[in-house]
Amino acid sequence: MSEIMATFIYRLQLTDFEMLHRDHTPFEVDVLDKHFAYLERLAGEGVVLLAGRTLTTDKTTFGIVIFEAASEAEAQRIMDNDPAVANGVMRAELFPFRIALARDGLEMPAPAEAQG
Amino acid sequence: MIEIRSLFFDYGNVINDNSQLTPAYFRLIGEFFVPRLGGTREAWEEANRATFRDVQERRLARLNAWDDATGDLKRQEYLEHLDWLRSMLDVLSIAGPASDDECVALAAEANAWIMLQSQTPFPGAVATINDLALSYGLYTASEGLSTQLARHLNAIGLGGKFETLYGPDLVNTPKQSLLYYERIFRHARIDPTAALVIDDSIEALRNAKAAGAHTVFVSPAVASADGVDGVIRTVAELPALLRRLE
Repeated sequence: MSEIMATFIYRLQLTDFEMLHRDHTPFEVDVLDKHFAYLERLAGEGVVLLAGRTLTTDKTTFGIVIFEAASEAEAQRIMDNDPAVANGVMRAELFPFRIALARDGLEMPAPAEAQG
Repeated sequence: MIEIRSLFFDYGNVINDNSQLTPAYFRLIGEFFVPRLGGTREAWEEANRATFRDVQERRLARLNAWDDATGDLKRQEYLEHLDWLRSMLDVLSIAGPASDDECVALAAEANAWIMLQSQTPFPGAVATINDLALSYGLYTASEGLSTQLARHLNAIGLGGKFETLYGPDLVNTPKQSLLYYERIFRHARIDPTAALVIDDSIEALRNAKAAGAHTVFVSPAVASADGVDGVIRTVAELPALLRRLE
């Protein structure tokens, strides 16, 4: 029997938003590469449904990751293991989430109440 | 009555209970370095004990010689990491990384890992800050680097609650400098008269006051202090103090 999954979102904000206006340090380049590879792998595994960022370049800039996890604890682990979060290049906040509408082709998990 | 719109928190001994940090720090040093550089856990712990005071004194001497016009915070951090690890390696008679850059990178990784294992927020601090984030703009004004602060706050679920995590790196100014708060307020575009700085250091609060901010001293042992707008034992007492001040 497959595991019942819930949907979560985490919001990412740059710790130093001026990163958007200057050359990245080698440390930042390394972390951002690992961050992208991590999300790419999770998307390939079907865990991440959507990830992206705003195209603003000021303090309002943020990114989001919408993903599935079996529990809030697992969701927290997924967020904490994001290299950008683990290395402090980004600040992150986790929320339970439900997709209400989506274009055809994007699979939507059943609402949590209906899963039990 | 004063109007407060922004709160600037120190991290150590305000949000996090640093009294829990020291024993864990000594224990974790060996846990990190033994698999990488050899030796025993006990020897690494002893090497850190043997060198800690001198490393700190040299660090303070460098900060005391800080020049606000020409100082380079990243260079200070580099020298601090280098001195810390090289001093322990000398005591242990272990060669360690060949280059200074490798040594600094390893020391920085060790420090980040150890600190992350040792986070123990004060009871009530996380819930209080979550609540305050609904009514105020929250910032840090701490001695740790912004990335370190982000790691720690992410780990305790508060990473997204702050507008900006000010450490010395974001304003290229050590916390000991008289210009630290002035530069933070300017960088954040904050009116200091509507800012409240919460810290366990009277010296830091004196500098914050000189920059125009209101100040709260955090101390489990002191009931009153001159020159501050309030004294609290823990951050959990901050909402009640804010209600009295505003």
